[in-house]
Amino acid sequence: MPVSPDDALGELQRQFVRELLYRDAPGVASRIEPRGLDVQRRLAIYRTNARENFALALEAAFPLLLRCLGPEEFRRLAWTYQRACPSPAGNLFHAGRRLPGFLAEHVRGTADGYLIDVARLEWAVQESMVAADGAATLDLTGLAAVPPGRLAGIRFRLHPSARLLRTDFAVFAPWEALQAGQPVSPVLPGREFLLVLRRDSGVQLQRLPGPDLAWLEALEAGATLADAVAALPPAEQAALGDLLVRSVASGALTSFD
Amino acid sequence: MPATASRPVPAQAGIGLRSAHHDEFLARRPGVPWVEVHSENFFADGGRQLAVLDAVRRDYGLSLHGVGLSLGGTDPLDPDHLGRLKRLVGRTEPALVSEHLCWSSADGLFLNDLLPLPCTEAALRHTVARVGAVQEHLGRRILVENVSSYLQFGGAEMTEWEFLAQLARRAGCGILLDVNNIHVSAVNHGFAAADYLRAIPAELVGEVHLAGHTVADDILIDTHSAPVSDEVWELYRDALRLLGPVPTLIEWDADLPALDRLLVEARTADAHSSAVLGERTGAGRARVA
Repeated sequence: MPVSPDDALGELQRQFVRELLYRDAPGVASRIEPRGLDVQRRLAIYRTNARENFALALEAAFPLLLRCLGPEEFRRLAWTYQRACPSPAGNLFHAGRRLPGFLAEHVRGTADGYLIDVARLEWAVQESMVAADGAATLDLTGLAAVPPGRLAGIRFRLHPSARLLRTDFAVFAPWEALQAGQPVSPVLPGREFLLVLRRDSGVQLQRLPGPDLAWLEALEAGATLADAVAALPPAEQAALGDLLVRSVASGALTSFD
Repeated sequence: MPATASRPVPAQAGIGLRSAHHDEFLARRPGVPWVEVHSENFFADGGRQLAVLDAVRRDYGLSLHGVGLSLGGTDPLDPDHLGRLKRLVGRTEPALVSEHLCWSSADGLFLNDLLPLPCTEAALRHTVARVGAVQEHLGRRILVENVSSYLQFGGAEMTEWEFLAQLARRAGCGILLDVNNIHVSAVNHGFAAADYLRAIPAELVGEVHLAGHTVADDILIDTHSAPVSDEVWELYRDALRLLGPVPTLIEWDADLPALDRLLVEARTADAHSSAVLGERTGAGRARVA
């Protein structure tokens, strides 16, 4: 069946992309004018551009991962990842979205397992960086105006840039060191509970006690105050006021309704 | 809505503003009349990048230059990408909005590069329709830029310059004429850059780009990593003789130099413009915005 002109253009573009990414559409070379420079060398220029653009975007988004792996190993990871998870959008920002999951599939349980948490943290930082601007930190005095009968049903809202993270490796100190331009120590096993939050000065990282993170996770999921409190360990329930003050001080809470 | 009215982009040289220069640019407020930014770098919902752009647009003419819309692609136009571009245009009210005459994806797989189109009537019709759809969505005219290329597809039914001129006439868009890209492609494909320039309808050119390229043995690569070459300056002078006064941008993206180096390039462009336009008589004429 004859194809429409647009179908022909689409087929040419599909073959071109596949040949550049996977080298499995060699026939596209016959569609290129053979004048002058070798056709394969012409294709190689575009293949190099696509790989470089992708790798540079990842380098910008995952600087700690780059530091951990070194430039050569990072490039190898970037290109392997690109073939498995090519950029899904015209905005290269999205290129790194699937990298934490890709690493989880390939290095979990190996000596490189720490890379998963590094990538999770750095993608959370990326998301936080471009999230909506939120209201100022919650003013707790506003709670006094809530009728006692409604208090249990209120829901706190987290700042749009807040990201909550549980890690199996201690990524906080290496990330902080990299931000400060200091030597980065190896990422070692060690459970951490982290809040990623954008402030005026940029994205910041805070280490939280485990119950604080669980409490914020419950609020983020939309739990009412009563339900979030009920999910806390007894000791934390008894010191709810302190927990609330710490949460507000962290900057994670902006309002309630 | 923007808090203040947008500033115009005059027929003088501006610079591409990159994030590495944001702090210095805002601190020094250099005497350049306008800047251009890559639209996609500001597709955020909030944060510092947008705050910087809000501050810059208060004092400088602004041009939004997209690299990812894939105007010639056969995948559907990405509604999220278009929506974010429209919000950014609404927020900043730029004097100019531009994209590239290229494609960048197929079957949802993006190469994030400026890939060349076959110069066929079918590809032209397709791109005319896509540019029309983008302009309708944005509610404004855009400029479409010629790209550098390292290959040409067979079966061409017209030259690239005929394709670009036809696109502008049939889609009702303007042209962003990249003089460095003309030089790079002319060398790579063996055509005369002068033929390209002469075929472009001057009244549809709303902006000119200048940049540096890299020589790789027997081919030129559009790297945006070097000063504008002597050959491109000469071609720019030829372009000015045909186009008259036109907003001209210095682009520099890789191996980014100090901000002052970009400002020197902009002053050089203005000097060329003054010298050439001094040679002309009756330079004033209507120009697409």
